[in-house]
Amino acid sequence: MSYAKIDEISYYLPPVNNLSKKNKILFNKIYKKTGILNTRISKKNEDVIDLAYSASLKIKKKLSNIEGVIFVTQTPRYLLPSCACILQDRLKLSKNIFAVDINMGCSGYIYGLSVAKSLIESNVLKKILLVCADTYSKYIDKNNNNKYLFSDAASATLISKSKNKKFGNFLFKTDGSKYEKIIIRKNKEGKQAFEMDGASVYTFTLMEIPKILERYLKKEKRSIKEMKKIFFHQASGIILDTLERKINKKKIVYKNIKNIGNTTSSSIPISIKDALNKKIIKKNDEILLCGFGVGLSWGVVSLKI
Amino acid sequence: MKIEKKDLFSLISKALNISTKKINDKSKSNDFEEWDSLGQLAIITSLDKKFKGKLNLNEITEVDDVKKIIGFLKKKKVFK
Repeated sequence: MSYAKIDEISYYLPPVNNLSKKNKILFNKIYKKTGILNTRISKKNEDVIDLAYSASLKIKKKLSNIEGVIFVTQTPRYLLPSCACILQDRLKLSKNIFAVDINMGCSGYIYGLSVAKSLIESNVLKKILLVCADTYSKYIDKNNNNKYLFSDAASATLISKSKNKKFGNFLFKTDGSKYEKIIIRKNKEGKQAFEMDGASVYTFTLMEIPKILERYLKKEKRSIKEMKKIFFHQASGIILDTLERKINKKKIVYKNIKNIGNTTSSSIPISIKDALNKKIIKKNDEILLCGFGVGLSWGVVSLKI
Repeated sequence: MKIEKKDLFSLISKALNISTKKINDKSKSNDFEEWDSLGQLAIITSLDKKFKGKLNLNEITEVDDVKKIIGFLKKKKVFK
């Protein structure tokens, strides 16, 4: 039996936006409610490929025998071709490679992991680079308050074969009836623009995320006490605080949103990497990952890091 | 558990950090700077805490108007 494991995680964040310095009073007010002090904005000529390349370069030495690239993004450079193909060339990876994009947002890391794990455990591939990258800032109008929430970022996760079982099962849910709650579509000026119904997304999170965790743990016959940390998608301070209150277990929810912001599909791998760096978790600790957002879509998995 | 009108007004005013006297049946988000999208989230959080997570807030469509909030609470049979 083949198993899969996470080998390495790296990430790239554009420089701090310093919004707090631009309008201190407004930003302090926002910080109190969102828990976000700074966001990250990519340069005008930078896109997801550039961010993904920068994140992947940090683990370049380990990329020599990569057999697959999975690129999770909702803000691709082109509608076609896929970003994964462009990244294969940019990183000078072998042409004998599997390359695919996954169009998912804040649940995208869980989706990417599930595809990578399945490909490895079914002996199709041995080593996969899972990249998550988004540049929402390019679609958020300067008058849209979501600019105080979202950050541009990329993460790179290396997944390879393991002798031991590391991943639990995955559990996914989708509610396409709420597809308009988070959407990029043409605005009145005919420009592609980001829209989010924050209150609806918040109530969805508040109602559905505790439920899926409970269902998952019951199905897996596991307890929250067995988990060293829970890595939720870092949506906003208020959402993370609410989820912590609902779970009713203090200090189990990892939070690093303050100076990073909501980095969509990269927020979970960035959090895991930070927690490893700060020795809040260590190798072989059991952790629970839960992504949720655009779709609406949500998913959960437990794993030994 | 049921909530009375005066308690609801107090809940909304605390969530928005404004005086209770300013809230009435006709209050709307447009009336207050504090009742922005983040203010809406604060009201939802307060309702969730008040009803100890037992209210299906997924069914509340808009939180930008006292009348709509009362309508939702009446529908859920938790408004006195």
